[in-house]
Amino acid sequence: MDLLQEKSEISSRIQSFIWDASADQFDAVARALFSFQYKHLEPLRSYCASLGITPENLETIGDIPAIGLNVCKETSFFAGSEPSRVFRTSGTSGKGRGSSCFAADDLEIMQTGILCNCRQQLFSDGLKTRFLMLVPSPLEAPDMIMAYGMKCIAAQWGLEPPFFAVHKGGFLGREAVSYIQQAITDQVPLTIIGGSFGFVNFIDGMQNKLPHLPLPRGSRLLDAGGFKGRSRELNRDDFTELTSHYFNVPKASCFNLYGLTELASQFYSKAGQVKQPPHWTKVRVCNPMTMQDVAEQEQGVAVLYDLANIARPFVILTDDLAVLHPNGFELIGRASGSAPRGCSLSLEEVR
Amino acid sequence: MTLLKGFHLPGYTGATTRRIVGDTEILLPVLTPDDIKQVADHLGRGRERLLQYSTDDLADIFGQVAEFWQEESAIKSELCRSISALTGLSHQVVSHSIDIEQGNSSRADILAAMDRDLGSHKVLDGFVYNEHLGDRTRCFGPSMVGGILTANVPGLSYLPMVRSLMVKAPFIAKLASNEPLFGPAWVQAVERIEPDLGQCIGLCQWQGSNPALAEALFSPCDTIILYGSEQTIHSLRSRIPRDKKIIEHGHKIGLVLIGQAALTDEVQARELAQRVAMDIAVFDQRACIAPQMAYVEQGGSIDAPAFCGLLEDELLQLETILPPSAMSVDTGASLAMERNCARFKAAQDRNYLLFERGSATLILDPDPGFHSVLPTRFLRVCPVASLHEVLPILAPFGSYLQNVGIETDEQTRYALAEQLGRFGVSRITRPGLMHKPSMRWKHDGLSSFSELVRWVDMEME
Repeated sequence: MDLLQEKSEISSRIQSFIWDASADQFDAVARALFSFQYKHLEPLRSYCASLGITPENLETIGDIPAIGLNVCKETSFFAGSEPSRVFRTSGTSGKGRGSSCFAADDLEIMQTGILCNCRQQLFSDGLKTRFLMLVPSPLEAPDMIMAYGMKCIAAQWGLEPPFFAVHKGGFLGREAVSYIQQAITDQVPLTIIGGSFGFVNFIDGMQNKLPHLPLPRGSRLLDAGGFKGRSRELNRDDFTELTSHYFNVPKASCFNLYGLTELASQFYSKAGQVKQPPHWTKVRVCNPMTMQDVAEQEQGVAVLYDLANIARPFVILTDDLAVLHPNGFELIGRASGSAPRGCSLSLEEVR
Repeated sequence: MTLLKGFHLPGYTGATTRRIVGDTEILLPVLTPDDIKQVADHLGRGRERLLQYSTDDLADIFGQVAEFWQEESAIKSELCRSISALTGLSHQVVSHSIDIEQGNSSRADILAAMDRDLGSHKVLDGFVYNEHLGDRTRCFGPSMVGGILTANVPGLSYLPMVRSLMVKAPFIAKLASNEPLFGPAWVQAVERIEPDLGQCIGLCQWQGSNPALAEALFSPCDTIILYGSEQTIHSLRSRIPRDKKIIEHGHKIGLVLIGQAALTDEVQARELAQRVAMDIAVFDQRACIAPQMAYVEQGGSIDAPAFCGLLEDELLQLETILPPSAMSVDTGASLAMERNCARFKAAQDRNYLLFERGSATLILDPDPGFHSVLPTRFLRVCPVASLHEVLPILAPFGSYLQNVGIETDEQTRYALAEQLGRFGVSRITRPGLMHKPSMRWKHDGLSSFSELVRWVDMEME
């Protein structure tokens, strides 16, 4: 069987599983996907070989070698025909910008995942809204995975095409406010989606002129990505307090999204609650030195499994610190990438 | 619960706060700029007392203090336990660091360092005949020396105090927030021998950046010694008035150069590996003197991969004597990512190897580019055809290079030393001695005592 035929088979199996959790078993699909990736991602196969791991001798899916996020920044993985879309990481890790290739079939699976996930989380009430995006449109930022994903969501639950408030690198503040005010006048619910820093900068910039912008009932907020030095930094509770208060949106309608360009699926949380991995994903929180799972409530490093990531490694070691809870996980923040030092120099700090 | 002072401020009666770390309670001051001014005034009055001591007397006192810290005592053991809790370093690493630092601070070391810098230490006691001048000369220290002792290795805060007091200048400084304990404990040891000297030292402590307090500290000083990262020093420098002299000790990086002559048989190579391992493990690789990279010349009987194996063994051996730091999840996650990348790379390139046992991480990298590592007993080892090849690679990093441990034949060593010195390296030594710089060494290429003094010459003829 050739690559494309095998890919088509595993893709349709995963597609069915995403639609219907009872259609398959996570571990069985993960094993099948590992076999596919082992065969078709040559660098992954070399890596597994160096560790003596093959699909045949895999005891549990916990033995599938996780690929470090920083590896993905230096190595391009892709199993498929010509990629039709390349997404790029933001480069905030300081390790350069990685790229993530998707063919049309990969985009389709990703879209299925996005919509199923959203149906369980952001739009569990099925309501349609207007959309204000504090990110550029996919036309302007074709390599930004978040812009692509958000457009998929707006196409499904939007009452009209979304308004993109980031245009040609600038922020259309006045137009964004008009769009919000129109929704208020019309009493039509609005979904605002943007980078976490984008929300902070928007509110900081407007608060003097407009102390509040109370959105109509049914409105919701979705932020992602942290602050990355692009706005003042707030902890999660303060961030929710600020945004929920400013837009008069109940905290239960304030969502945060955790996603990586290297994966196809994302993880949502409602304010004050933990992140819930959708059923085609799995999150392990591991002791970084032993890679064994830590006990609940203990801090470790997040290892993410995403069955929708067919053409690229689906088990990723992140540098995000997390705590596992009975019904999900909580992100603590990104590891500093450093160790305590006295007077020893890190060349990174002077380059 | 042990109560330790995280400051030493003669005359200070203001508020204090407590910070609990492990089973230690650290008493810290709550300072205002006015408090610092009052302490500085008090220290200023102490200067007259300081001028009454001869340099021999002072060196004798500090030499006795150095001996005290090298002996086992309840005070030392308690202090090491607390510093260990604060810094994550193991008790043994802290204790060993203090032994090494104090071990090169005897009376003879101090006086020799001064004689080397100033011609004679007696020039601080009165006019002394100088044959090159053909007449008498003497010098004076500043009216007060200031210091910012951020981001240092444990125990090192005593060094600027010794230098300042030896030139008879009162000293006022901000202690490192992650280790504010050794400085005050050292002053207490001085006071047990000579109570008056404690009145000439002020050690402050505050968390984070506080421009108003920093300015109050800088204000009474003629000369200011800054330790810290490039960013820290840059930001502090902008707050110091132009008429003050600044002495900087920025973060630096060390490396090892091993010639093929040093790898002729396994016994010799293992002994060398032992020494390199010691340079890494002492201070747990947090010091500027610790190597982060090693270049190994090919052609010896022991090749670079075999040498990495030996070094890994030796680092593991050292874990029992100098246990590695307790690793936070944050550092662990960062190290896990480094190791994951290296493991992956090793699987793609048979010339690239990862050695990862216990706390030791060694990467054998065919790319000889100069990169720093996560300082967790982590060394990048690069094989090269000739050590001379390394020089153009190192040249751009000259201002950040500090200690280079060279193990090769004498002729090659001199040739390399000549170039490395030109780039900016300030100490050439053998592996195994990198972690033990003497007090006589011109730290970062500076004459530490000369930098502090002002001269007056007599030319009567």
